[in-house]
Amino acid sequence: MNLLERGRISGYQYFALLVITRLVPVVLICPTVTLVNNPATAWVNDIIGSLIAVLLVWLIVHLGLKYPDQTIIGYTKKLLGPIVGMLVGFSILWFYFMIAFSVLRTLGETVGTGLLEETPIQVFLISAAFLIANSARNGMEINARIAGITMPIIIFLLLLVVASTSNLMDPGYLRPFFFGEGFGELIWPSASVLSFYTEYLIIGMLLPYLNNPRSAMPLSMGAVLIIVLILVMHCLGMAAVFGPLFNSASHPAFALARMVSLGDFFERIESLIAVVWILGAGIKVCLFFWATAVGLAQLLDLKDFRPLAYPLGALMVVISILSYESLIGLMDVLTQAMIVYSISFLILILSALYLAAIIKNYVGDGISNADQG
Amino acid sequence: MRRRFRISRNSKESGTPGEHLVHCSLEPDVFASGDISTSISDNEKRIREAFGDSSDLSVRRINFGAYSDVEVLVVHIDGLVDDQMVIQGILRPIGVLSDWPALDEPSPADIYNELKSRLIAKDELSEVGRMEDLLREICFGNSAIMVDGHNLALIADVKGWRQRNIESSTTEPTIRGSKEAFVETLRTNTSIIRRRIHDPRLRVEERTVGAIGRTFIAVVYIEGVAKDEVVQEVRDRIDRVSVDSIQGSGLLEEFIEDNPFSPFPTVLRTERVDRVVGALLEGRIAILTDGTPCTLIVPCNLFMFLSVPDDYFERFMIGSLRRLLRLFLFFIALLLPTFFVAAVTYHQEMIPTNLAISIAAQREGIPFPALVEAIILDVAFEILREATVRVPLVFGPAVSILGVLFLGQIAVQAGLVSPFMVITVSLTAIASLSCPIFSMGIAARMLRFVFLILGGTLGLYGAIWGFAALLIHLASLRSFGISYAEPLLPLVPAGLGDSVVRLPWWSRIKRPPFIAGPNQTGEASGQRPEPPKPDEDSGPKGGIPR
Repeated sequence: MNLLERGRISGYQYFALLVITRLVPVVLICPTVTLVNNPATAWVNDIIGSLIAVLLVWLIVHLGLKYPDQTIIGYTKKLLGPIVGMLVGFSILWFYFMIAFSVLRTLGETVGTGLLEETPIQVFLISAAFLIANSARNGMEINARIAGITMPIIIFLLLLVVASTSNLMDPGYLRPFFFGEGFGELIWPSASVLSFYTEYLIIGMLLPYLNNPRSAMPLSMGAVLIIVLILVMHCLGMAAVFGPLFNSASHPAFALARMVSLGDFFERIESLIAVVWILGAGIKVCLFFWATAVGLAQLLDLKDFRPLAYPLGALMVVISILSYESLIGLMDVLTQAMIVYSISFLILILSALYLAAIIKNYVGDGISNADQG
Repeated sequence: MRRRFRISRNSKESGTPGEHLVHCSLEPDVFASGDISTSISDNEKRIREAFGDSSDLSVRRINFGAYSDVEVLVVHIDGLVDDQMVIQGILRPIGVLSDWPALDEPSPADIYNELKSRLIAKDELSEVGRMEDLLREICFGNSAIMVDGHNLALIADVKGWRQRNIESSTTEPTIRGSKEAFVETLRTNTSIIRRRIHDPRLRVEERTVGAIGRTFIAVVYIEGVAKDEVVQEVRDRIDRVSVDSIQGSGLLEEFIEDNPFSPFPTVLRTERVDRVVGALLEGRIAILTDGTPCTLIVPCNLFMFLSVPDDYFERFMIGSLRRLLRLFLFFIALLLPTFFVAAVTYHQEMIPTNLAISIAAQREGIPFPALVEAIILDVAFEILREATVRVPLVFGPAVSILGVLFLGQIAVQAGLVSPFMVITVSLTAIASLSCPIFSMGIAARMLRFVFLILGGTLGLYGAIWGFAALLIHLASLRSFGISYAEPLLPLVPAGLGDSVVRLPWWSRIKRPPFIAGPNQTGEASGQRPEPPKPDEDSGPKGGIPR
């Protein structure tokens, strides 16, 4: 199978890409926060959602390791045959592409509302998409390298924000009133947490480019673990600072960063966070955009994915403008429809691929590199 | 991929000579080619014709010792050879000495062989059979010796000419390091390096580049420390160069660099000896060009441009702090006016309130937007800088006084620019001049204008956009196959110790992994200085001498 891309990424870069993918929405929209009724139990949702995510990620990586020299598009075509494989392949690519243009739109909206109110959003979308298409065109190595230095900075800033707002925290807000309204209260927010982990379907594209694919399992699990720690800590921090006002802020992480004020000069780190978030969002869009371009080229048996970069980039801009009316509409989709869609989609795809793998294995028609398991 | 493209383009150029300007090798001369004739009269005529009776051509016909009927021709260029060596080593033995063995009826070949084994020169005498080789050797400063009746010529290395003394570098001054800098003579430069690395594994490979100039270029590296494939790449790239002449290493640099359209230099140019020696010991390769003190170091990375050898000579803490300061200054030179313009124009809420008020008060009555103001000042600074470099030394003070007075004071008083902008731009300018290697300072200056326009039109978003573009460019840039921003892009924690900061020598056991070749262990472990441990054998504990 032609991989169409000569680049290789190190284990650390793989880890960084995964962590950034999941942290980008955390910084901007913390969906748990907007959905939960009781701030003190928000972190429980994080843990429940992540625990289920561990299972899903395990399934994704395990499937990928069966065919460590192929992308998810490659083995979908192989397992499901030309017609069904093509359809499923397109649906996977659409899933990647949807994440790419949604995050791009979020990026544009954030810059538009936060930094430059009077500039039309198209300016941000087009300029960012140009850079992203350009970077994806030059291979994933570049994006992975930038992710490698951005990830520690994002984590450091998030920790810094929580640490420097500790003087504002009131432990009283954290008094647990577990399950006051029954377990049902936990389902929707946890599903929301889980829905963002479905983006880890990208592992299917990344894995064959890892310079040691066998290390994918511990690295992916490590990424989930780090994210859970950050999510829980961040959630607790916000609950302790804001208390009942927890879910009234539109961008809770920014609101928290805005509270930071130490000694009258160490403040306004929210602009720093904005800078790093924009970089992180760009990396995430670039990752999914690259996956779409490479995946499409593989699906259609093209010799090169690079000619697709600029047309797909233009398409990404247009669709991101047409798909959502405003930031509110975007948030609505991300916090409601997307949850149902992404989780059911991922479960469907995984079960279809596993079923096909088991049947093919049982029938035994020439998939030599599938190891038993 | 891009490099491959360049290779094919270059080979195409060299394939079609007349078409391209740089490749116009001389048409071979009738006299200057072909085999050497057996008649020295004929040879003498051809040599004289080839040089067109240049006055510095020195031709001497002399009878061979006792056999006065055999003539010997000695040719060289006056001023390129050491007179004493020619007289003592060549002319005297041929003409005066009478202890040549009494050969029975010596044939010209016998005399030739006798001369070959007896004449004194620095090296083994070599022999040539073709006229163009002979002429080339004469141009290099060698002496050619021909015997009448024999169709080969002996070449004796008797080079010797005036050269500049070894002095300290004026462009890269140092406080604690070695004051020696390279000079224009290639051989002197290689000897300076040899004197610091006393190891036969230090390789000096010489080759000539240029159809007319035939400039000597030496590729210097340490076998086993430098990666073989990088050395081979350097050789290949130099061999591909096809021009009339390489005057100065800058010309060579343009032909062998990785990405000509990058604002960042991918080849480091220096005249400091300690910098070159340090780079060699790390596994890098130095390219010395005859006729210029500027030596090229490849492969290089971004952080080499921001470090100076003095960092290693000072204690490691101050060395590290200065590295960090220089990195910070680089970002200042790149981004400070951008952030200032962006903040003043679009994001006033980001400036602390008191400062914002005083900036606003000062900008009252300034006729231009902040972006134009910044560009005016920046251009004014560039004018000043260019003028101070070019004007004769005596006019220097006049330029600086006028510059300071006009720009610093009158422009502010006239309400043309605001004092804050003057502060910002001058700080930026000083920061860009503080870059240890000039070419990197230029990169920062050029990019500053791009960033300024981005920041002035799209505010902070423009600055971030530019920064992301810069990161993408840096992440994809390579210098001879080595990633340009290596310890950061991609992140290699082991490499950070000697790029962003400078950790103590005893903590650096390995050579930089991304450059060094097979033999990576640079020094023994466990060399950290510690107070001596109290020992039973070595007298009483406590350390008070009795």
